[in-house]
Amino acid sequence: MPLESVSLLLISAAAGVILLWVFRKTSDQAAIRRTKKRLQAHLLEIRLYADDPAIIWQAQKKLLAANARYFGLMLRPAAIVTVPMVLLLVALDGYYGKRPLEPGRAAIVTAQFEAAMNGGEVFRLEAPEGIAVETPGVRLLGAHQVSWRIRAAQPAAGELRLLAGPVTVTKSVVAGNERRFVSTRRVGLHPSLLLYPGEPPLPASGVKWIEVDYPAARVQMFGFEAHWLVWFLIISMASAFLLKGKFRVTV
Amino acid sequence: MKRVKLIPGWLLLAAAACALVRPSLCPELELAYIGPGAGFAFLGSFLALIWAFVLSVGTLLTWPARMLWRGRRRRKALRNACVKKVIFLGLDGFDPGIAERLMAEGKLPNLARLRQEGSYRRLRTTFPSLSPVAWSTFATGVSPARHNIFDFLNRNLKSYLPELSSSRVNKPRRVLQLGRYRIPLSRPTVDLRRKSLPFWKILAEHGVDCTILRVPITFPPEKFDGKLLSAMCTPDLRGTQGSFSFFSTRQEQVSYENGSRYPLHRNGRRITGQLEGPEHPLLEEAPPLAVPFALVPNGKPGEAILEIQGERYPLRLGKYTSWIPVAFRAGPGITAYGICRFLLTQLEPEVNLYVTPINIDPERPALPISHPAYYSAYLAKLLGSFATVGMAEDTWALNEGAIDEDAFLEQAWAIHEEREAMFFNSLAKMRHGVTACVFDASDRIQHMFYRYLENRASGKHARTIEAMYARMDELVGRTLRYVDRETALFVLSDHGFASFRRGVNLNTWLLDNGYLALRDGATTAGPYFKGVDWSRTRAYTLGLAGLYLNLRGRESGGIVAPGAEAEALKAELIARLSGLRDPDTGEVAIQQVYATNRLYRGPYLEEAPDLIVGYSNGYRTSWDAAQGKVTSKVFEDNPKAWSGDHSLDPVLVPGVLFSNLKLASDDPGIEDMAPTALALFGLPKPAHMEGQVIVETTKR
Repeated sequence: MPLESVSLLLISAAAGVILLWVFRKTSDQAAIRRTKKRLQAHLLEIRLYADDPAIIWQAQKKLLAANARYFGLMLRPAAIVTVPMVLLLVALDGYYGKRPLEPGRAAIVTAQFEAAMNGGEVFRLEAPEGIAVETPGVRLLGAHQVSWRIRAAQPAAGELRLLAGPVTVTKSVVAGNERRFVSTRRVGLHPSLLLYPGEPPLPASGVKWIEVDYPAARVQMFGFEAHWLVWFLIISMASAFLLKGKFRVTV
Repeated sequence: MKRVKLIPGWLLLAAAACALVRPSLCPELELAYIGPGAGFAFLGSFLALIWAFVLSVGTLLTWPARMLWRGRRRRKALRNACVKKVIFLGLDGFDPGIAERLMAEGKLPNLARLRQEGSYRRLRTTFPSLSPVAWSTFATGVSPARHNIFDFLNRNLKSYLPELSSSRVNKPRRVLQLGRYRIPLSRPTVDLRRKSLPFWKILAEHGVDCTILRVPITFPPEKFDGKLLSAMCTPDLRGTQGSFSFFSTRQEQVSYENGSRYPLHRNGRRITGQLEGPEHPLLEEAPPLAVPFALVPNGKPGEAILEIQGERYPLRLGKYTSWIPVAFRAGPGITAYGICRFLLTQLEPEVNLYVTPINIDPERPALPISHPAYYSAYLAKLLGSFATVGMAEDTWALNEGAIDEDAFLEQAWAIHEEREAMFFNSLAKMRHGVTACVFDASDRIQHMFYRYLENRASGKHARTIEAMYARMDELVGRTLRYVDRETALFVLSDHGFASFRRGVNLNTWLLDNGYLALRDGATTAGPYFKGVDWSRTRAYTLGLAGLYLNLRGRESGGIVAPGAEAEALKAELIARLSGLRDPDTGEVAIQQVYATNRLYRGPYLEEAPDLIVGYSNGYRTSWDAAQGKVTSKVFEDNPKAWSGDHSLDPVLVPGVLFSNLKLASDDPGIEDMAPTALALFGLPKPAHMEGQVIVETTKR
C-alpha cells in the first residue's frame, strides 16, 4: 500500500476514535439509548402486529417521531465536532484531495474581484519557470472574475503573480508528479480563510480570492481507488464501530 | 461561484454520500462529514426507515393474502363468537373473604360495580391450592393429573432430590472436553413439564389473537401463533428461582437460604466487591463468572456512586437503582446478559448493599423467555426493562432480613407497574382476541404482610394489605375502560389466603409414628432426606402439600407394594392425620387428607403425590419439611415475615371470579376458564378438558 494510503488509514482510524470519545462526552447517552430502543421497538411492533394495518400505521408514525428525536439528539455533538472536523478535513483535502499539476497538464486560474470591472483594466498573470500562461485573461464581467489557462511544462513550485494595475498579488502554484500539499485558493481576511488556510491572507487589494483548479486526486487502498473522503468515512466509522463497545458509547 | 455551507447533521452526511458517488460533482461537500457519530446516526436512521418501509410495504402487500388465510382459519371462531375480545385479569391470591369485606365497606368501588353489573362468585381452586397448579389448570382446563403440575417441586424418583416441577434445563448433550475446557457442541435445551394444551394454543389455531403475559408455568414459552411472556419458574441468570446478593463491609458469617452474602472491601475511599453471576460455561471447576464493581461515596450524606462495567450510577440510601445491565463474559462471543437493581441499605459506619436476583435481560435473553423470542425485547425496548425471573418479588430477602418491609414493597410495586405497562400496551393494541395477564403483587404482599392483618404485628403496615386491595381495584377500574359490549372481562384469582402461624413437619411426625426411619439411630435428618433410611421408610413429604408413599417399582428405594398395601397405608395415614391436633395450641392442624387417586384421573396420576394434606387455617407444612428435613419437633412457630399462605385445605382458600358477563354457574372452578374462553369464540370444548362453560354463549 502506498505511504499516502497508510497515512490516511492511520489518520482516519485515529479520527474515528477521537471523535467517538468526543461524542460520548458531548452527547446525552441515556437519551440516545432510550430513543434507539424506541426505534427498535417500533420496528419490532411492525413485525409483531403484521395483521393489523392500523397498528403498523401508528408504528410508522412513532418511528418517524423517534427518528426525528434521534437526529435532534445528534445536533449537539455534531455542532461541537463540526469546527475541528472542518479544519481537519480541509487540511486532509489539501493533501489527499488534490494533486499538483502534472507536466503537460493545464489548469484554470481564476481571480475574483470585489468590485465590478469596467472592461478597461489591464490584468496580467505571470507564472514561475516551468509553468506557462497560455491565454490572456478572460473576463466574466457579471461575476467580477478573470480566468487564465496555465500549463505545467516541468516539475515546479513557485508563485503566480497577478498584476492588476498598481496592485500585485501572488498565489502559490505547484507542478510535478509527487503527492504534496496543495493550496487551491488564496483568500483575503475573511471567515473563509478557515477553509483555505494553506497560504497567508491576501492583502487588501480589491482581489477577493485567487484559485488554481488543481486536478482531483484519488487514493488507492485495498486494491480499490476512491476519493479520499470515501476512505476516511469508511475507516473512521469502522474504527468507531469496532471500539464503541469498548468505549461504551451508544451512537 | 462556489459556496461552502457548513450544516451539521445528516444533511452533511448526505452530501458526503454524494461525494462518495461522484466526488467531482460536489468538491466542497467533502466538508460535510462530521464524524462517525453522525455517520452512524444517519446510517442507522436511514436503515431503520428503509427497514420499516420494507416491512410495512411487505406487510401491507401480503395483508390480503394473510387475511384470507387467517379468515379461513378464523371463520369458525369468529362466525360463532359471542364477543370480540376476552380479557383475563389474574390477581394472584386475591382472597374472597377480604375482598367481600372491603367491598361491603365501599373500599373496592370498581369490583363492587363489576359484581353489581355483572357477576361475582367464589372460584374453586385446585388440589393443592398452589399457584403453579391452579394457573396450569386455568390454562388447560384440566386437573393436575392431566397437566402434570402438582407443586412447585417434585422429587426425583431415583435420588429423592427435589426438582422443579414445571421445567427442566438440560445442559448441552454433546460437549468437547479439551483439558479443563468444555466446548458445547450443541445447545442447552429447556423442557416444559406441564402437559396438555393451553386454551390460547387452541384459539390461535383458529386464528384468534392471544397475548399471554406472565401467566405462571409458561417457561419455556410454547410456540403458537400469538404472543407470550413467561412467568413463574423462569430462572434467574444463575439458574436459581431467584437468589439475591447481599454485600457488606461487616465481616461476619451469615448464610441465607435463598441468597448469598459477599464481602465488600475498603480500598481508600472506594469500596469494592464482585457480583457473582452464572457458572462458567466453558471451564470445569472454575468459579462463577463475576463482575467487579465499586462504591464511591460522593461526599453527600447517604449517597454514593456505583461504578460497574464502565458506567456510573448514583446510589441513594434506601432507594433502588433502575434496572442495571450486567454482562458476564466467559470468552469471545460468549456473554450472558442480566439485569439487576441495587439498593444501598447502609453507608455508615458499615456499608451494606442489597442486589436483586440477576434477572435474564429481556432484551438479550440467555434463555427463551417469550414467544416470539423477540417479544420480550420489544416490551423492554418500548416500556423499559423489567423483571423476568419467575418469582420476581424478592420475598426471601425480606424473610432473611436483607431488606426491610418498605424496600420489599417498593420492589413489589415497581414490578407491578412494569406489568401494568405491558398489560395496557396489549389492551390498547387488541382489536379482537384474548389478553391474559397475571399480577403477582397481591400474592406476595399477602404472604409477607399477613401478620399485620391478624394483628400479630403492628406498625405502619397495618393497612398495607388493604391498600393493596384498593390498588388492585384501581387496576380493575382502568381495565374497565377497555371493556365494551363486545368484550368479556374476567377478574380472577387462583386461590385465596390464610394465616401461616404454625408449621407442621410431617417428616418428623412420620418418624415419630414409625413410617419414616433414619440411619445410624439419628433423630434428625438434613435437607433433602440426608440421613433417611429408605429401606425402612414407607412415607415421606417434600414440597408444600404432598405426602408420598415410598412405593416399590416407582421410587428407587421403594418398599411399599403397590396395590392393596399401598391403599391400606394411604387409608391409615388419612385416618391418623385428618384432624391431627397441635398439642401446644389444642387446635386442629390438619383438617383433611385427600387421596389423589380419588381427587382426579389422568395420565399423569402416577406423578402426583399420593396424598394431599389439607391444613387448617393458621397451619402449613413447615419450612424444614418442605425441604425434606426431619427435625426434633412436629409443630413449630413460623417466625418469618412470610406469614400468610394458601397451601392449606383448598376448600378453605377459594379464589375470586368477577365478570361483566352473567355467570351461568353458581360453583365455578378455575378449570372452567379455558372451556369458557373457547366457547366465547364459538369453539367447542375439547374432549380432554374437564372444566365447564360457565357463561351463556349467545352468538353476536
